[in-house]
Amino acid sequence: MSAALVAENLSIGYRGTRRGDVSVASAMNASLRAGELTCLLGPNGAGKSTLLRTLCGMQAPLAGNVQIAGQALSTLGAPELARLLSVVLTERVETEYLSVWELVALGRFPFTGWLGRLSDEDRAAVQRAIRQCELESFATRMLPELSDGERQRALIARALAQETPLVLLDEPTAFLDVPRRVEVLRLLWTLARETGKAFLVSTHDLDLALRCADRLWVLAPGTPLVTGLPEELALSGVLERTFRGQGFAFNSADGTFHIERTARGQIKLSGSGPAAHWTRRALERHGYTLQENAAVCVSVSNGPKWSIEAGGPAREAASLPDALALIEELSAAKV
Amino acid sequence: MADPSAPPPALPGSFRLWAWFLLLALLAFTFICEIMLGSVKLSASEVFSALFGGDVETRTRVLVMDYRLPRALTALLAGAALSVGGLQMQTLFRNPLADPYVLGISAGASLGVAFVMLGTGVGLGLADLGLMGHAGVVLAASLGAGAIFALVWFVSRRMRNYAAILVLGLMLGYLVSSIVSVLIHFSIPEQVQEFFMWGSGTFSKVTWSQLPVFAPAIGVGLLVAMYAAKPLNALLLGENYARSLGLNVSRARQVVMASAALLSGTVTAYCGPIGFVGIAVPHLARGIFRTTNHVALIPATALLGSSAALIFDLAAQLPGQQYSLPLSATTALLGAPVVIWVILRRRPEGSA
Repeated sequence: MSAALVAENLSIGYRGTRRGDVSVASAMNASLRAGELTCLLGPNGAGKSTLLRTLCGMQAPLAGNVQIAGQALSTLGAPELARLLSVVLTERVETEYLSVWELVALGRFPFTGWLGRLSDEDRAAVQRAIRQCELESFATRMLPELSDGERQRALIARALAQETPLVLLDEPTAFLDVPRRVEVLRLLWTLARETGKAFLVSTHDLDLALRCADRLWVLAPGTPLVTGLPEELALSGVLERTFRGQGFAFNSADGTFHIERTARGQIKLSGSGPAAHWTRRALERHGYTLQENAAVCVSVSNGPKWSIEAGGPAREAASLPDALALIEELSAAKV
Repeated sequence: MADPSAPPPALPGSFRLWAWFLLLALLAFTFICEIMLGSVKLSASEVFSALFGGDVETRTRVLVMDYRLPRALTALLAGAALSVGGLQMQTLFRNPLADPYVLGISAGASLGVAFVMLGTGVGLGLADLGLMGHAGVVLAASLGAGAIFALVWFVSRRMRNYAAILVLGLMLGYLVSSIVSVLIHFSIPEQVQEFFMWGSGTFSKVTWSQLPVFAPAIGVGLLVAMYAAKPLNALLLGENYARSLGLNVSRARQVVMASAALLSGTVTAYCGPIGFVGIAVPHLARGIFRTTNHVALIPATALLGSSAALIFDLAAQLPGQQYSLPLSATTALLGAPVVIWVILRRRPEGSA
């Protein structure tokens, strides 16, 4: 697979402020491959947006260079760049009386004449982009009438209509509810395969990115950019280091966040299936730790039913709240 | 699966043929009314004879050819110019309440005219220029508008923040109006009266000898506006998207600002500051055509603006009456409800 974008020894930041250049991140080496979805992860303030702005030519790099389709970004003029790279930005587009069809058709801007008249080829590209983003039934709707998820798909369709080998998206899942986030990332994953374009998406959805991205770029303040397969970066502990915070940590073993709490006691849990899984989550949330030789034993059986035993006779609970109350009572008695 | 080459499911609003015919008919109707109506009502046959050299009283011919026809042509051109200028500023600044005067044009013009009409009070002795009649006023207004616009232009080239440019225009407006109020303070009532007359605007002062300058200036402004229609479409999405589409944003901004300044500056110099047309008409045009495509919207706004200016001028003349109202009174009276309607029907942020 060929590289759609290569960044070499790239330093990003702001030039010529009162205190001289302010570097946000430096010595970055990375590339994007055609047909792949790459997610850019990192905590707030790590420079994700600055990196995206630098890669799409809105901001000059402090050092190093970026090559897009084999050409140096610094030598490309705006019209040439518009044929290589399209973007979905965080700024809201709420224009009244702008229909989805017309919005997507704006993606043909670099290809049309001075009055913007669309050729048959342009119309076909617009129609194709609308179909790929499953917007056929929204084509004549005006932008303010769309939900956030629909508007985001329309903006993605606009970028597709620009027919560039490279598409950069700045937090396209922000402000969306969970199903819409999954929908957008699934769409991008599918588009990467169908269209052979390279997609770079900055996002805060670590969990979704781990499941959808072909490749991750992880940017943390003060450390070089790390790239690799999602699983590779989870295994090597990069994600754990990057997303460690006050009172919580990313657990490399199961790929989820664990919130640290003051310990309340130890529990032995037996049973399997969803009921046992969610009982474990409830116990952890209440600050219990799971231990094989704990004095309080909880066994979950189908039903689901909970049986709690701490030395004396086993007591039964028919619901999770009842079980938790019993556990609290028995473990308090133990202490 | 849909055929990829299929046409869009419905044609965009810009192709509403009936609306174009309606606009042209409205313009023709209001234009004829403007010539027929006034303090003296003329019949259609009298107007026809006067225009095309038929048999008609000399007095009627003079009234039609020397007064009403140039006045109607002026209103037609000024309405188109102000409306298109307003449309350009609303899109460029992404602000539904922008009008062609945000660039400081009317502030500058009123400063220039104030110096000419009121200057004697503070010892500037420019009032003699005012005696040169309308031509002197046009010159003073042009110089003032040009000077203030040059300042806005100079600063805006160094500024990327649109809100800052709007605030700059606003501040210059306050600055100028305080200078003007000082000039008024030291002026005699007759001069002040004359200045207020200028400030309420009129289409009646442009003569045949001035139209050869007035009309081409507006024609050029409208052509440049049309040339910048496609860039304005890209700017609807904001500067960053426009740049990502390959647009040279700063050049497009300069072309749009220059054309809007030429359009509104020409009208203000010859007719005085005429408010509301520039704000209200673009909203009406968008509403009628249900589009933001400037390739359609600019001609639509121009046609609608011409009709609106003719209607405002007709209303100001109070046909059949001895009296007439100041033009600025009718534009605001009829235009303000439109602006209020537009604000009220905008959906609240994030309600979608």
